[in-house]
Amino acid sequence: MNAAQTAPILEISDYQKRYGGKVAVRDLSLTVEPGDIYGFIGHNGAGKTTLIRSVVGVQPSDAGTIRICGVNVATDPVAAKRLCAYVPDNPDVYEFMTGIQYLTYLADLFRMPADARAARITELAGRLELTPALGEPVGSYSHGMRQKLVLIGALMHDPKLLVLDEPFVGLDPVASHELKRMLRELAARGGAVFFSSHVLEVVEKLCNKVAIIRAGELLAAGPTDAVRGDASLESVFLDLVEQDEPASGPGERGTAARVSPADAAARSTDRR
Amino acid sequence: MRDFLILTRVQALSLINSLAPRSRSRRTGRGRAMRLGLVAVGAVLLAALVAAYMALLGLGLAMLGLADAIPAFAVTLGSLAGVFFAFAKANGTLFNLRDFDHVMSLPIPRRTVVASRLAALYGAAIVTGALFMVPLYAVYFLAAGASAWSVACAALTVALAPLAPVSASIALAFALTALASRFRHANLAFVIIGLAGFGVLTAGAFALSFVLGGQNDAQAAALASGAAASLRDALQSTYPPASWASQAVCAGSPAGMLAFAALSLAVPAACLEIMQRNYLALNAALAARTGAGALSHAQVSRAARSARSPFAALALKEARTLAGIPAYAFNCVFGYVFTLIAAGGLSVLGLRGLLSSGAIDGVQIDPAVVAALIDRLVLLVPWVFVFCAAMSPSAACSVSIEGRSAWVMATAPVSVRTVLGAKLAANLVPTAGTLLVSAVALAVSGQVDLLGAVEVVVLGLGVFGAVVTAALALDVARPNFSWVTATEVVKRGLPTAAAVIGGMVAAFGGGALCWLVSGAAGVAAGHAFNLACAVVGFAAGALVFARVSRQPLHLS
Repeated sequence: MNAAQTAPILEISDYQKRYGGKVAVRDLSLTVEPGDIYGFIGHNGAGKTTLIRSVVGVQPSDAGTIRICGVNVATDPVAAKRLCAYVPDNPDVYEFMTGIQYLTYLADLFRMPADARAARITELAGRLELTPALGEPVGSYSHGMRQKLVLIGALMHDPKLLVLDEPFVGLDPVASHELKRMLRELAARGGAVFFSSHVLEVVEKLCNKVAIIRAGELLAAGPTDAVRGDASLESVFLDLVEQDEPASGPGERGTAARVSPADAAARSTDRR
Repeated sequence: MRDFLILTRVQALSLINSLAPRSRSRRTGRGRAMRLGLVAVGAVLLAALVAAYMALLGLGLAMLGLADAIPAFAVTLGSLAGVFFAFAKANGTLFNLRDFDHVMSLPIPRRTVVASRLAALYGAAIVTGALFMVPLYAVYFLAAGASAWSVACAALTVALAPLAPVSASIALAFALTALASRFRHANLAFVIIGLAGFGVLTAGAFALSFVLGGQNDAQAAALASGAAASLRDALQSTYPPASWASQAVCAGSPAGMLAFAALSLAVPAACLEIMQRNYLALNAALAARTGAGALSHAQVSRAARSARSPFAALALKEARTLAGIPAYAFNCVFGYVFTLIAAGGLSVLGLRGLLSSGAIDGVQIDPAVVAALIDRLVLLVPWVFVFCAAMSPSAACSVSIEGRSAWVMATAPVSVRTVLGAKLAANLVPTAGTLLVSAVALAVSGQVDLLGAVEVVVLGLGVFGAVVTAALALDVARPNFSWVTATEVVKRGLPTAAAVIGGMVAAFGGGALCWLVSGAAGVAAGHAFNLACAVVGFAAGALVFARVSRQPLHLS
């Protein structure tokens, strides 16, 4: 049995990222197992996108390691990227290409066999109702259509890890519902989903695990039920992020302030 | 006016960012300032070179007794200096802008928005025109004397001269865009129509220059005998506004100045009015362009089956990028056309005929001298094609041109070597193709022998390959993904400028060294020098590529 079969889908250990003198994310560790749909929540500027960009290999980390199925993203980026797919917060893709040109381009990069790519593209485009528009230039697409196109591109090669940054923004209700089904199907096949969102109701219903980040530090992480306890995820989230900020900023502190899920749940229960 | 200044300031900031892109994690304030300082020093040096050349040209005219012709000459040069660049940049400055929706939703009149967009084009043309005109005027005033009126008129003509021709150029680009918007592939149609037009224009100018060159002996004699009016008349009949400006500067004619100022202001005003009235409609037409129509599942399935290797897919994407962004194509495809025109011109006219015709600006060598030096002159032909190749550096800004879509490149499961290799291949393969066609044409027409033909291909590819790979490395190190218009990275970006200027320095420097080597050690040594330069170019390019391929392609 090789490392990729036994390792967690995503393993982040002591990750740290600085922008100049400012620490954007500090000593963050978490693990995503096969079958997980992992929600990653935090306020604007908390460090969600920073971490996500390092996971998908478009930004280096300053400390720590990130492994996808046991493959180190920093030392073997091509192998890691082959196991992964990314949907950014802004679905900007080449405007001069048609939708189908973009998808075949991605399929070429992922070395998908002709039959497999044809089957997956037609299936996914049908489910997201994008088939008729695939002959049009991406420049003429609405935001939602671009989002659907990027989702098809991300899902078509059946990644082990799907990383999404605010994936539900711009999607119509039908497409949003279909996307949730697709994410559950991917997890059921033994893959995993790691996504950020500000829509806490979606995270609460869709995710079996959740992590909460504030000012670059992980406040809570674990099974959704354990993190929220008897409260709603929104209550827990508000409770955690509204706690008094430490006297000094995150860049100056030596250790991260951690709150266990049980503590968080207890506080939320008190609050109610 | 305040709105106009605010919008123009944004354009200026985008220019600064295109010269020294901000990076969230790497760029420090000091490093950025240093880079901008270096760019400024380079620009000043380049401007000094141009100014010195123009001053020498003016002195030459004055020494021939043609000082009276200098103002008309200066105005004509200043008027035409920015025309090509304005045409090439107009489409990218006015259309397909990322901030179009945002800016048009602001409470600012449309006329102000369009004026602020055009200000960049006019500003660049005025600066370019001033570079040509000011040294010529300085020589004129030294030779003919100056009065307050003549100096004031000269200063006004510097500011006004480019306005009308640049407006016409922009209007032409606008009209072509309107025509191209009716096609399914509007951007590609614009590029093809524009390049065809400029190909014809270049070939026409070349042919005209050759025809006129044949008359130079008689004209030169007439001019040398004091017929200064003939040159002035020629300039004035070619471009009447130059005559009006010349009358104002030389003869103190208020009517001439008034006519010149009125035309220079009326044409841009009319141009602005036409554009602002049609701006929304044309942008909407471009945004609403359609593709193949609604596809069925079967059509999608068929289209999805075309499989390529990652390298081929990346190279094809680069070609699509070039065809899909007009500003990119205009800046980087014209060199291929120019290479073929140069090869055609040399093949048809012959090296001997060309050098003695005066068709090349400033070059008119006696046929007997040409015959005596022809073996050494042939050695310079490959360097001419190094110069031509340097006009097509599409790989130089190919990382930055990914823009906000760069995440696709950065998350693709392919090595950096493959990504950058495809970018270089998309540039070097057409370069090799046009050089090969040129070499065959030159060999078949008897202008070069087999060795010379080989040199055209290998020297052009080797030296240009090294230059463009170095520029690509520069782009990888400091990419600018946040551009609003492609022009920011294609036209103003440092990597492109480095490739073009580096190519020119290599072409002129290499050619000069080759001339010296062949003079000192014979023609065979010149051939050996050319081949050695090709080998050095290939080796340098490979070394730079190997080095740049080792670093990751990150977005910040």
